[in-house]
Amino acid sequence: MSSQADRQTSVPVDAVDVVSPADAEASEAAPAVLTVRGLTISVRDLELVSDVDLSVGPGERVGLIGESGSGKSLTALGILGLLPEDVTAAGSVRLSGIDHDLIGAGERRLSRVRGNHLAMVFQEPMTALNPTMRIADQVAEAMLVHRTQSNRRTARAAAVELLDRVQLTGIARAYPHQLSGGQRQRVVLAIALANDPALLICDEPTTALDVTVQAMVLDLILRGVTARDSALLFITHDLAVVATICQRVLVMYGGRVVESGPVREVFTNPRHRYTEGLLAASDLEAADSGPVGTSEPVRRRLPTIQGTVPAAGHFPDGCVFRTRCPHATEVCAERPPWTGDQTRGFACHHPAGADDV
Amino acid sequence: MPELYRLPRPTDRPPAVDPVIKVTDVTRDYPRPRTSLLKRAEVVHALRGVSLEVQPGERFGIVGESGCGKSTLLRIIAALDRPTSGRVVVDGTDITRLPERRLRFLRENLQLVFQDPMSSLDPRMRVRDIIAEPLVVQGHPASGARVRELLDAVGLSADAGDRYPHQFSGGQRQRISIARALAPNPKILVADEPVSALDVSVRAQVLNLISDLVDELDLTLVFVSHDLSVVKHVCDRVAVMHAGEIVETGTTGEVYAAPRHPYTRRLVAAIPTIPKALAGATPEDLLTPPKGAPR
Amino acid sequence: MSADLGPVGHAVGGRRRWNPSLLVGGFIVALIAVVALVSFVWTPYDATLVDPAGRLASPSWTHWLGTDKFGRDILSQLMVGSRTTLFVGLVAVGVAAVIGVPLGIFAAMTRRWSSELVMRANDLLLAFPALLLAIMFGAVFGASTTTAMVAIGIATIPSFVRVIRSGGMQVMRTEYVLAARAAGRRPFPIAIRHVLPNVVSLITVQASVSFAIAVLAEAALSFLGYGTPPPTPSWGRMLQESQEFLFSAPRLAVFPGLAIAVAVLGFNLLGDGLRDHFDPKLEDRR
Repeated sequence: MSSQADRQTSVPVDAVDVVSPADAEASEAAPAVLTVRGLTISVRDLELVSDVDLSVGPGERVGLIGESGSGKSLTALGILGLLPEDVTAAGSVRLSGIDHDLIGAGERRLSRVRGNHLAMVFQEPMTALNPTMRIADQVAEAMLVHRTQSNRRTARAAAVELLDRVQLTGIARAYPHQLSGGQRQRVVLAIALANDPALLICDEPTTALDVTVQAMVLDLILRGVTARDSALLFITHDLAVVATICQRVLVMYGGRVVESGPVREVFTNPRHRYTEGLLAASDLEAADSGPVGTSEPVRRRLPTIQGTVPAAGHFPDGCVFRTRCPHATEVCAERPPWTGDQTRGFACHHPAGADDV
Repeated sequence: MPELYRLPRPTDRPPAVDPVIKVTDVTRDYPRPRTSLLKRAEVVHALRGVSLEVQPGERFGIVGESGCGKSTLLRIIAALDRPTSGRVVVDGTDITRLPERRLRFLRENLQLVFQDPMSSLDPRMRVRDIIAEPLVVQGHPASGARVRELLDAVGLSADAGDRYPHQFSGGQRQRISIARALAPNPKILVADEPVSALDVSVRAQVLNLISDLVDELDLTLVFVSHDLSVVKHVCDRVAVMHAGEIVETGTTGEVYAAPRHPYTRRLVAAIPTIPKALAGATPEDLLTPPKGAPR
Repeated sequence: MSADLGPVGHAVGGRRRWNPSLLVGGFIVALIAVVALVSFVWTPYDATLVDPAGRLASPSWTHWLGTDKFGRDILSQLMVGSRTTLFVGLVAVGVAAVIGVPLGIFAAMTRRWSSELVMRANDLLLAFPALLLAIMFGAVFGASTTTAMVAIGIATIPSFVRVIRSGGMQVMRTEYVLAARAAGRRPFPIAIRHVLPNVVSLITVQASVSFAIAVLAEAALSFLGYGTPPPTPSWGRMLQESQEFLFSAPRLAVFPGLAIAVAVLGFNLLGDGLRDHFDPKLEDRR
């Protein structure tokens, strides 16, 4: 009856879709923790996310990359069932161990899943915590709500230990305003991990943080999910962060997944022209080819993607990238089919590296 | 294909010319707002004895994390804030105690580009008025031709002038900001985190634009950022700030490749990069400065 | 990240369309203005004409809204009273805005003791009840519409100062003000070019709210006998005079009460509408 029971029985839902994570360390054929099929999110008649498929295997770490307007955050909110009032989602979102589709499920059923099987960390650590509650109480609350701890005393003890684990020792009685942004984000992480979720979704969790703090939070996220064998869906615009923490990556543009695959393959051998452009534009290292210390250093310009990201609803038909793509031809007015499979594929009529294939 | 650009001047040599910006032992204290009637207001030491020199034509980077004092330093250099002690000399003139009415040379020669493309443009003004503002202030003829020329220089179409800032994307707004800064033909361009709020694909465009303009117009660039890899790409020399002090100065290549100060080592190690990651770096490695350096 | 959801790079015609609150509010305010103007040249009866024979007449073809206890025509009194209402609003809001807005901007832009002084004086005035001030003014300068309204206006200054100061401080923190300073703009031009236009919406909202408050205050003061002295008709005094007939002839209270409510609503709607109308961000959404 309770969600605990659901988890123990662990009915394989949608077992047809088996995702094999690329890295050898990840598990072999096992039912996916999260299976999203044909997720479409729209405001009135405007489609913001179109037909997104994605699955995350047990213990797998998947990155979702995109710039502003790509629909990556909406996808996360859609999975969590946290879309704003006038935004609607269609398609299917299944979580292993949950016997119903998350799309269309009522708030009561969803709230039993959220924070328990499915936990999240958002970008803004300032607003994610209740300013009038001590942090340990907030972590304890997360466990009491889902009855993973039976009483307040044990929950508090578990909370203090969790805070220890994210290297917040001895400040359990602090209030959120007494903490720095990085510390607050660690509290949020502790809350997210409190019930050993099967899946942790992080939406730009380190974007608001300094680089050195980011490194620490990333380390703690990785440790947290590894220790619990939780799957991770990590949403960011930062390619390097995804490369550091994820095994597999999906690239979104204009509300569609344009390419997916193992991190190493996508980052070293991108097929979609958008991925290719994005990688080139963000690679400051390669652009600094000039030898250091010589009297005549040379500075290269960064390769760019022309134009700007269109506003929501103003992406072109067919290939969403064709208005900015240097390789676009007439055929791009037709929507490119998905080439490849669930694990590795892309949607492009003129893929990069096609000549040498 | 990427074009090759020569640096205006190699800068690791001892400077032969007078520095265009010379900051000597500058401190800046702020009183915290009082929290109690009985207790004294606390004092925040935003800058604790900062000294630096920027040579004409140089691209100088200031790197540091939030709260390190880099924005305060930048405002003091732009005479938008006054140091508590110390001296700032710009273009041979000590601006430290100069009243506003005698800062005209600075207002013409030093212009700023800010981080937040949302708040850096007055939402109630049309783009052409925004760009013309520095010209009007300084009594130059603010002709439509000059505004069109500036819009063209930053890669915007002439009809952009009739529109309001909110009709543009972040990257386009940053271009407008740059056009406004270039309007009075400044010698020094000070950029405060100009690409931090931008998308990756747009960031490259804006970085290229700044780089091109600095070359074409022979500007001195002071580029402030929290991101050492961006500074390394744009600048020749860099000062690393931490807790109100400059902990390390050097050419960007040297500082990036062989940081000496423990903080700089920590900072460099913490930057995630794709090559590092593909070579197998984990977040733990980001936390570990190389070769037993103190954390 | 959702900051860029607006139409990016798509030229918008820039046509300002009329929004409903502006339309309705403007219509009501215009109607009051027209009625006030017409009342100078024509009213059904002389508004001050006493007719002992026709006291407390019910609405009829001769007296559309009936007559009061002196036999004066209610419609004529309402028409002439609208002049008082407009006058009241304009004077009170005018006084408050002309003094309050510059003080608020000044307090927002300076960080010295002078700004502190303005704010403390402001707090002092804020603590003083508006009606009490008006009664004091009435006692000293004699009860008249003008003294009452100047008093109400002065009492409204603090709310203007507070609202404009907080809005102005927000503007002063923006980078476009920093950019203007770096370009050499002096404080006064910054106040005119950047701060004022960006607090205009606050001013219009505050003005419309104050206008409504002033109309109500005038009614209250007249009711207490410190506002418009007889025989000049005023909606507030009509209410006051109606109280003894509240049960026998409720229409005596209903008509002026309705007039006040509609006027207050009109000015509030107008304020809202103007705020949206002047916001360039809403230009292409309407």
